[in-house]
Amino acid sequence: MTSNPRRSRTIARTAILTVPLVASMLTACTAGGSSSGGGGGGDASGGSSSIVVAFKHEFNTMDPLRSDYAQTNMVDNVLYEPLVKFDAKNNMVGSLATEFKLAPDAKSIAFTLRDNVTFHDGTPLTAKDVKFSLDRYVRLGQGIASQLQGYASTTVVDDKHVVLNLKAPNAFFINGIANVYILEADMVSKNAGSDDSQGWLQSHEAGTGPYQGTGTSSADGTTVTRYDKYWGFDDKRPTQMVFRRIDESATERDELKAGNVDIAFGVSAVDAAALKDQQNVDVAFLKTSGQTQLFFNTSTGATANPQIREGLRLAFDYAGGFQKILNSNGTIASGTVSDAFTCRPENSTPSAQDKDKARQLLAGLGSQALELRYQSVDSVQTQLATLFQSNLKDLGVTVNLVPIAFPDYLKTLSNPATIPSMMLLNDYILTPDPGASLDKLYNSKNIGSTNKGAYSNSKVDELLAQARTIADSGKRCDLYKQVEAQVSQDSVSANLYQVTFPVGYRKGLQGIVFDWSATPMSFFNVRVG
Amino acid sequence: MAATLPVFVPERRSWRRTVSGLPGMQLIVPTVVVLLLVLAIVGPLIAPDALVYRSDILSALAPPSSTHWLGTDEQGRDVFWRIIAGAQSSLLSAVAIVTGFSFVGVLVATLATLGGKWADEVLMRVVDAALAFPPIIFALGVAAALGPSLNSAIIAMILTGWPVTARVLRGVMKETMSQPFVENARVLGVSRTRLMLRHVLPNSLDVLVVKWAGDVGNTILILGGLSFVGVGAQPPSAEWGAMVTSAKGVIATAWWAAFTPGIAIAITATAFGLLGDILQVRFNPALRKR
Repeated sequence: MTSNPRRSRTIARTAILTVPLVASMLTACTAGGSSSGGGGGGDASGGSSSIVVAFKHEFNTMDPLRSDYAQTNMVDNVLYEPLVKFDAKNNMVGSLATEFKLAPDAKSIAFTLRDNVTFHDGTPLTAKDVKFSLDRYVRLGQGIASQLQGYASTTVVDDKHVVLNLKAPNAFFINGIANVYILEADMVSKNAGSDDSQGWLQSHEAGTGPYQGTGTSSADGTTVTRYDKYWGFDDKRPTQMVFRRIDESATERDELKAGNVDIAFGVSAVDAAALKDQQNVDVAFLKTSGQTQLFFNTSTGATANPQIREGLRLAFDYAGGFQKILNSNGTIASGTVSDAFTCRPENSTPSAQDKDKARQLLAGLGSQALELRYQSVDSVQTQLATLFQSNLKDLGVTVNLVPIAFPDYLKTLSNPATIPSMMLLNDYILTPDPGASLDKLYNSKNIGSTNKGAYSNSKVDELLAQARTIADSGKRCDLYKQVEAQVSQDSVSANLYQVTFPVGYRKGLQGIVFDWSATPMSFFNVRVG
Repeated sequence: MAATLPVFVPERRSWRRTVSGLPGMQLIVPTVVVLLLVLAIVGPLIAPDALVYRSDILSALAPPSSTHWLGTDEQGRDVFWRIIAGAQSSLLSAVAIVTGFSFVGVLVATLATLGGKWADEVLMRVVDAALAFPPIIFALGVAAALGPSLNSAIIAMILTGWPVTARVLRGVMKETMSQPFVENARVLGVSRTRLMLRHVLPNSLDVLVVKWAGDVGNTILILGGLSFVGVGAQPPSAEWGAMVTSAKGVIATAWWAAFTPGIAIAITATAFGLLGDILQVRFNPALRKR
């Protein structure tokens, strides 16, 4: 049989079409290639040191207005500082402020600013910078401005003293301040342009933090260098941090193994497990304040019935999912908020499957099919949704899985009728005091905006209104516990797991720990040697 | 007695003769294709529902064994039976897509050929405009706009596939129209519609049959790609691309879960690609002589 050149070309074309698929699969099995743009293996010996951090997803801007984005906050957390922050024991401590006091009527907060704080161009921090920053966030009304709801004005007492005035008594407000960064007023004003400095701050910074920007920023990351005039200077901080976007977990894993990356910030649990035997690599599973939850639409459709919600909650195989999907990392949820919080009902027990009771409760559903929305970009969510679908199929309930992008999901919250009957998501509470978040999630006043289940219970509303006016944190905590217990009793959500982030890092690096200021960890804490 | 013009009618190709004429290796490809099509039809009927769609989470990612020949996936479902069951959504969807865009393409090409200069110009400019869109991006956009599902992916690919068929077939039809046997038929007073249906179209579709076979292979790959990026089949579908997607996170530790559906895609795409090649050689006398 003679060869046919045309046939050979066609075979070659077919091979070209099929090879990429197989090759893409095999790529994941092989070590990552040489990296470009990274610092190339952290020198963890102290002194001059550079580390490369691999993170996932697009890095849009360095403007602290958008520090509600995890990628922005990851970098801003070392470029900027807030007035106050939370320590590892959930206590509020000073950052740029040395003293802070909530007025007894909970209508204002007085701050005394720290001495010897300078912005990265050497300009000293003053009260007018605080006023400028807060006013700018509220004026722009996006992103981190959500933490400033109820803000009325700032009174500059003198260079070192400032008072934040609130529209109404609001004991929750000061917690949100821990997530709000202070900018240098003069520098930002000078570069205001037509968009209130948003364009300029996309790749420049005007902060006081331990690191300063290098003016090199793109969607794939940025580089920051240590600011040696930082008021809390510590020479064990790396001299440089290179933030490099790597979306694929397997690539992060292999780059870490190859020494091209020092901290891999987005590895999957499976890849993290594969790193455990590496000689120069450690893996930390950081338990966060977030919880994987299935929110029900409590106002419309089948899930408006509390019995159906309870049945759905009891149908899920929590233990199986924990063991096989989460690789037993973290914990099974035992309440409305994760066990990172101290304000939780004492008798909380881990969520558990009860098929018989679930079958009984779900009998009222008949042949009605339900819809479960989830974010398919998150493989863990996809697996959890699929497991839930199968668990319910075992009970004769049909569930259709429909992926949804997070921005589209947020739009559905504007109308209770459009809220998905079931929505799977990781919900984070950003401060150890859960008051503001409980209020956003469960106060009926927030139906149409942040109340994810369109949930309404007058008892819960009253408890939250009461907590808002109490300056004493202990008394507020008691009220929070009552809110959580009521919400749990009403089955507003199925509480699945505490969110745990695997982080792979080069041995010798210190400070790979959970921090409230940046989920799941803050590079502010990282030290070498 | 008036002289009659001789009417030349080309010999119709016999499928039976085409297939029976394939020697050795060339018989294997059509056999594989037929087996795949049979599998696509009977697969879902013979695959146990519990092993294909029900999660057995505690058996997740079990390696190949006598119980699970190709192991289990991340939900503990049997990979072998999922591939069998998924043949329908993967292969028949591809066939449906190719049939769909071929139908639209034939329709447009026929109208362009029959409809005179203006119809030809207008339709071909529409084809030009449609071809200007990158097909994958367009398919992604359409599938995303319709909502991620296998049906959305099928519609998206039909909408992106027809222009090439229309363009190719219109060219062939124009060429066929200038053939002596068509000219003779026209002189004999055969109507345009009859001329098209009885003479031009049947003698132009050979090229489409060849293209169709190759297109099925390409379509399986693109359909798998759309599922891979999340706008195609959704869980718990056993569509092969969706299987690769759901297992991509565990490929380092459980290769079988992504690799085996990947192989199924590769075999199917290759088989249909080769079939297209074989048919091309068979139907093209110039190639056959080489």
